[in-house]
Amino acid sequence: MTTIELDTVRKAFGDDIVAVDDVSLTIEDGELVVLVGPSGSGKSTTLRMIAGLETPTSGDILIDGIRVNDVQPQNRDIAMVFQSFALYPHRTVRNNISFPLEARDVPDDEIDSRVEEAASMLDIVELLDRKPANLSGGQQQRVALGRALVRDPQAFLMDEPLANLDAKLRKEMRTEVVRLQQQLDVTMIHVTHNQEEAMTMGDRVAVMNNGRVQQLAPPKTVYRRPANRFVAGFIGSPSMNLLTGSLVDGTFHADPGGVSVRVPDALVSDATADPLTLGIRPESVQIVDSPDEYTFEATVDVVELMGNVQIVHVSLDGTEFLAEVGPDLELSNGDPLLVRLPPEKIDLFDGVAPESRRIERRIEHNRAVGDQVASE
Amino acid sequence: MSVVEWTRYRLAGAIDEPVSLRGALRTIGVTSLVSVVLVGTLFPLYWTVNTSFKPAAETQTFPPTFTPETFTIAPYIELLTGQGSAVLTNSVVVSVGATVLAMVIGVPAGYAYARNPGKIGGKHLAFWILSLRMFPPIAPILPLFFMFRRLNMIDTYPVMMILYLTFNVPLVVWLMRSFFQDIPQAVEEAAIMDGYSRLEAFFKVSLPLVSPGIVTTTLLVWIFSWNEFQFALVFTRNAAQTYPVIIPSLVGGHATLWNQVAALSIIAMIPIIAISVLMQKRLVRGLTLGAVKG
Repeated sequence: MTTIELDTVRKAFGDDIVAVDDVSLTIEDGELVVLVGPSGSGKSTTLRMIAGLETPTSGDILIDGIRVNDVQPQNRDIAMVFQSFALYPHRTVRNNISFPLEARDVPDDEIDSRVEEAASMLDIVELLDRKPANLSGGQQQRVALGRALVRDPQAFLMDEPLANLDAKLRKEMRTEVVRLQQQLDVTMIHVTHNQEEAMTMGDRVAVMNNGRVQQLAPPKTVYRRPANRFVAGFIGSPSMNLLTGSLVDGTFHADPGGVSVRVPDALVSDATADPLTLGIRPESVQIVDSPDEYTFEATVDVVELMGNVQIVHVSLDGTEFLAEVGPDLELSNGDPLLVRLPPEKIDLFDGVAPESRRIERRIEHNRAVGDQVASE
Repeated sequence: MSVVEWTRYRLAGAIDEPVSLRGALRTIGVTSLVSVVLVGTLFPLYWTVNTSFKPAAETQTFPPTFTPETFTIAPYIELLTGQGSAVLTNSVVVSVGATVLAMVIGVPAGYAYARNPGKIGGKHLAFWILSLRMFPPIAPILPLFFMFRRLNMIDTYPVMMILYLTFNVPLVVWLMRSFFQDIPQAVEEAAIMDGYSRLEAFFKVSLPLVSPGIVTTTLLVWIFSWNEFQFALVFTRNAAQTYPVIIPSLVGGHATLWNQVAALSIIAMIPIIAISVLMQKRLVRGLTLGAVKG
């Protein structure tokens, strides 16, 4: 049983740099929570405070309900995997993995068997007598994981551990880490700046920006019902189209761009800000033949064929607008298009700042998360 | 056959293909230059060895003899049975003591500077430490002499060790600081997360990783302490006298014992050369550590 709780935790460096701004989070036992955000969003600092490597300026950190602000990192019984792997270059793989056990005065024969066990779990038994310098990046990563799991810690903290691996290996290790986490049924906090990693790994995702948690929710919810404009733009690849404009009589007029489309009444009635933001995911955008109140005219700028889909870049007076369409549609640069924004897929954000909240539809359950994703 | 042609012929034989005139000339040029440098460097050493095995009378003959006509080890025996063994013992005690002290003080200080840049002693303490090494040693000698005479410490081992700290500690702090800076902080943090205290992480991880740097620094500090002349001349009389001081005392008004001067120089050189050769691998690693980031 390990729950980790952050209660209005704040970390300031000096007088004017606030890295983490009153973050409150609860990570349940056995849960894998991913902290994701751009660099400088405070995710690593948050993780380091949980580890004990940084001290919060204010607020409390609780592990299993016990306040640990003043507990030294070595006494928190938490394992951490670093972006640089941080292996001990002067020790063999075996001695790297046994290092945390030596600190706990585990008897020698038990150390041996536990190191072997961890090594076979990670498939690195044949590397045990090598030095870290003679290992590939992926192998070093496995050793770092072995060192973390050999001692059976209360929780795992992962500080961008996959960032230094190449794309193929990163995907493999992503699966491997999730498999280990489920196999060990251990609480894990994983930090990354890669939103795709966050979406595929986390039981829940905490999206951070400017030292604050913007949203903490399961990946599907974060994707389908982003809490605010920042989350909407950050999660998803290609990212959500965000148009700035005003509402007049239930019609959204983008500025600039000449886009005028009707917006569902369920959204309009709760909009308070002007200007505000209209958001729609590229895969929800439709290319149609006949105009209606949800369409606007545009010209094809660039078409990228991704294999199973095409990404159509539409020029809207300098605003980036993308549509994801099937591979069979014949399009070339300069072609006129009729773009349709299906009303049930439109999101409105009440303002233009990153923190502008997403307006919940009055009948939100009609777009229940599971149905949407299952139908795709 | 001219020298140039001979060189072309030999080079071509060595690498199994014809050699241009230009290549041959370059080889001749480089070889000549290296030869001049080598002779210039090694001749004094050769002459010292040569002199140290001559009887006193032969050291002054003209023309000089390039090998001892009467080979003798008497200069070594006379030196070591006379004051030589005492001053060499003093040199060992003072230099080793000064080195250990400088390392014990300087290594943790270097570590502290590496890990807390700009936080220790504000902006100026680090520069002050470095500046200690900049001023000429002769400048503080008189006040220091009066201070230590008042403390009744002249001509003792401790005074020599303390004096050498003035120059050695700054060197150790600055060298070790850069060695420690090359060790990623994450490695220490990993050790802390693995269950070790900060101090244990320092001893179990950081210190072993800077060992090439420690070897290099120790050697530099020790060589300085071993060879130091100025302070030794002023602050020692007899009991703590180190070997560099008695070399001039062998240069007498009536007769100079050149063979004993040479013998002492050779003895003093042996440990430095021996240690450098033994430690060569680590020394080179230490000297190049940080030069190329891996």
